Amino acid sequence: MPSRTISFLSPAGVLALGLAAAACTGVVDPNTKDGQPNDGNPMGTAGTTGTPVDPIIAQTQPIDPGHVAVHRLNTNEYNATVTDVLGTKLQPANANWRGGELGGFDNMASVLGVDGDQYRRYFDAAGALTKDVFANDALRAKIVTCATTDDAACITSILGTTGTRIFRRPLTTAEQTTYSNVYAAARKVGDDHNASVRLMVQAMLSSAEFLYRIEFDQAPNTTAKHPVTAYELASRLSYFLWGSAPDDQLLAAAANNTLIKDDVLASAVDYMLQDGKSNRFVTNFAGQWLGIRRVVPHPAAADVYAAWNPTVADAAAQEMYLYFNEFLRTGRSWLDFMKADINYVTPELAALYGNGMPTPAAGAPQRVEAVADGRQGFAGLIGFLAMSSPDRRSSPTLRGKWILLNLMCTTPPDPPPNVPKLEDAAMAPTNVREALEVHRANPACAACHALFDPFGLALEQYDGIGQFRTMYKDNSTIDPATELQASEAYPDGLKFSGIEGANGLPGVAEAVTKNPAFATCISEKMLTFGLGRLLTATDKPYLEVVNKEWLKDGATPSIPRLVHGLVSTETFRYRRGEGT
Amino acid sequence: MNRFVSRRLVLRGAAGVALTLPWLESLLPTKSAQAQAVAAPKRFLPIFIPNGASENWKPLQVGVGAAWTMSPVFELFGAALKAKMNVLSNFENGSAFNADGGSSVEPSHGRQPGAFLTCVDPGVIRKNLNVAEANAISLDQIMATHAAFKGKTALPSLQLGLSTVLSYCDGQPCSNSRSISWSGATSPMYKQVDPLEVFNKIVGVIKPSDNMGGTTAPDPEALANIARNKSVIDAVLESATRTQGQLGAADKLRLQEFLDSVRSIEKSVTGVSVGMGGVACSAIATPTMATVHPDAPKQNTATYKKEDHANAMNDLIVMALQCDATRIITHMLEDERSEFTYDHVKMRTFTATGSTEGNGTCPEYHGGGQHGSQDAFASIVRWNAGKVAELATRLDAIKEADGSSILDNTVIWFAGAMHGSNHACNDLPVALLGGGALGLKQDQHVAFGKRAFRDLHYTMMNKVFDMSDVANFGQDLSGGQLKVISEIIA
Repeated sequence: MPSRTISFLSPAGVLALGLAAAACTGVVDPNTKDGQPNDGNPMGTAGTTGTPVDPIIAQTQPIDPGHVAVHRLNTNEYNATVTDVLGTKLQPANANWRGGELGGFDNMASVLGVDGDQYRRYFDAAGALTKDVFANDALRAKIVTCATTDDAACITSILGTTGTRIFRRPLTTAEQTTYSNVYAAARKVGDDHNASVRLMVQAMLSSAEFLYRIEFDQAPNTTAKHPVTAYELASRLSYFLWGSAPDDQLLAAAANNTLIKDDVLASAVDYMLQDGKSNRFVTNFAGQWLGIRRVVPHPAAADVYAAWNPTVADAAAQEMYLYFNEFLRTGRSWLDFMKADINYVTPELAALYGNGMPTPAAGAPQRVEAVADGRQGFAGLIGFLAMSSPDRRSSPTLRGKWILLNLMCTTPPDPPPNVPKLEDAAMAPTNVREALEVHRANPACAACHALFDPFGLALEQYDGIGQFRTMYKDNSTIDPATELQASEAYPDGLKFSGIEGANGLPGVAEAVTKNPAFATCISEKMLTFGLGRLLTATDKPYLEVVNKEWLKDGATPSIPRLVHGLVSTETFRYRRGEGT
Repeated sequence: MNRFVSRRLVLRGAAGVALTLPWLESLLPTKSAQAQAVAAPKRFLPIFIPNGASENWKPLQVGVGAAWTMSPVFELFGAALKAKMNVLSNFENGSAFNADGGSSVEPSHGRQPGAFLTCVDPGVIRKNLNVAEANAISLDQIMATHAAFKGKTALPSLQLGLSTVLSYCDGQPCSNSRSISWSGATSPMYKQVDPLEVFNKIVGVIKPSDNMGGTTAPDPEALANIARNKSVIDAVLESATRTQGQLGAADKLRLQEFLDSVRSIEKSVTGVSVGMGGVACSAIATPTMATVHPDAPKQNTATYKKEDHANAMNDLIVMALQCDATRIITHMLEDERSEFTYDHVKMRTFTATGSTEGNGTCPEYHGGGQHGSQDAFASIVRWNAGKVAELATRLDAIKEADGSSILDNTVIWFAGAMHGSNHACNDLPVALLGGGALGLKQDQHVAFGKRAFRDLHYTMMNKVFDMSDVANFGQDLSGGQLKVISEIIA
């Protein structure tokens, strides 16, 4: 399973299709988005500026697959790609390499620019990688498949195998000439065959055609849609589900052009999800979307939370990965995500859970089910409860807002100007709920907070690192009962008192699952991640089709079915030029 | 001289072997003689402090010389630096965002740093261009591309920082809060935080003196390696140019950015550098990876020490300026909304005039510092200020030919993008160090009634750095006119 993660996800990530509440009426209006990339800036949200988009819900004919820009490999993709393509153990990319995040994801083409410093890293890494690979007999033999020096056929053959793996497509004739010239230049300074091949590979690893995923249009200045090539489709699939380059099987299905067929594409998806490399889908997609990458760096204050340490943090993150992974692997209904009574615990994590959580043997996290500790679902996981808190206390507002933003793809408006923050009002409030009530007494704040606070208030029996408690430090009893106002999602409102005497988790699970935006939110997030671009209004019809099929009666809305649905759409299999 | 000598040295440097650069200090007399003919280089060094500052940043008194005393967070500065300092209070940048000039710019951490060196709302530019991230060109980059600076150093500018964990971006494009330099509307300049990488970059452009004496025979392996690198670069350029021709306009620009990046390293990997030696240019030892390689720790660890990291970066800044590798450096002491735990800094208890060491160590910067106790916040700010003081002191010790110091010919702009715990975009923490030889008044605390931050940017160009032809800068949506800040000009 994934190693410790190092990136840091914004929990208030940008939501391309997030519904913006135009005014703090407590009513979320789905018709107020402007169809433009919404970057979280209030000016980017509808209801303020921008062209209103017709309600296109009824429109079922997908019309525009959109333009996917050239896409520089990010840090994780680069490391995974060199591992898979070259077999090296080197991981040259690190957190200091230039990245870029948008919409909560680090694979968005539009913010993955390059500069001289970053290119120098690529250039140096290409040298180090080929040095490593060519020092290893087995790895070198995979590349140097013929031994005749200065033989054009031999070079062409190597470019045909290794070159295709590196470029994720066959080289054009012109490209073959360009990179053969590198071989010749190496020969000219006295390098032998192996060393000359090495330099040729080094040049390909330094090239834009390797460092970027590039798709072509026959007519780049028009917006005519057309299918992507089989090789381009293979790359779309592999970076979506493996965070890496296509393997030889996918390349073969591209070479004979069968990958574009529905049935072959579907079986390729199954094959890819069964491959261990799909763990990278868990770490890259869920790791960012569900805030899992934020758990290890979560800055819990040591003087407040002595029980939080790197071992526990690591275990809490692992549990979140494994929790999501179970939904991916078993085909369990996504509608159980907030309700499933599953934990994956190490001894250290079990101790933090307490309340009857069994202590497993040391080693890999152990799966336990139906522990009668009152917890259930994603919102009961320690990692989530910690990650969504500030460093010294729990925050109903932050937790609630995180749930609204990320699990229901709904963007509440930014706070009005000059409202004192809760943190400023009280340095270390002992009773967060009371402090929040004061804050919410301000009518300017109340209507918006009513959108998300209830989710957080219901979780107040879990402290800033997810430990269960019944009282605040001032010995006041925590009351998790709360309610949501009537709204479009909750026509009759929803009381959170839930099961008599129980904590608020069942109420949160019910409220989140009941909101229609919950089931469709994952498809928005997954498509955003899968395409590496923010979604626009023109993606909506595709999502409507996918959601309708995925959520139809009589079938289980599982993650694999959603992946199949998204991959089968035109927006994933087609593209268009930029236009003029 | 033999052009391949330096290449050899650069290669050794890149391999992590300690460098000796024999031509440097020993050549001082010659360089000084040359330097007498030319004015000392003017340098600009904005140093960004994240999360604003604690309330005790602002000195209690306003005035010049003995009339004002340093505030407690500056207590590490000492009298020598106070004599070369301007503390400037009540700058506001809210007018870059709000038509009424209001100080609330939310989400603050995600938006305000974007305007730190541009004084415009990046969101407006983003919206106008309909792109994912955008900003105006930042002050340092306007300078770097102006005739006053352009072409005078091998590196147009450097962007440095001490961050280790990717910061939380408040739902905004992360380039707003992780970088302060923008070379173009859609080109944030990501900073370098790895000292070894910065070292190699600087050493790669330092040119040995023409008078180093003696020549070394060309190194055949170095020659061969240059040829190899050249063939790689040639192939990459040829290939990318061909690919670029098949793309639409926006994608063409992306490939152009790639081609420009390749060309920017071409010289350093295929030949000798074209840099110049500055006053008493002396190379430092290669930074050691083990102690300062900043790969994602959120607090000090056995192998990562923020103190070492800061010191290494200060060493590199001194070397870069001393060797005249560049004259413009932006430096972020941390990303905005940093959550690094400053457990290498002792907690202190502050009074109005000073501080004493207390118990324990400092907490995490944002939640525990900015939003924790003022003492915790001030302890972290004081440590950051101390690193700036150390840097300034070293620059003040290096003399130009005319007897002035590098510091006298440098404006260190030590400032933040928000006030402090209240997140307000007014009453910004701003202090200038040095610049005495550039026409800046010294040793004063000026408190404006309310002053647009962009006036300071404009004054730098108009009065300090020979860029009086630049007529406009930034935006004041509340209608204020751009004005020179006469209070700081001697």
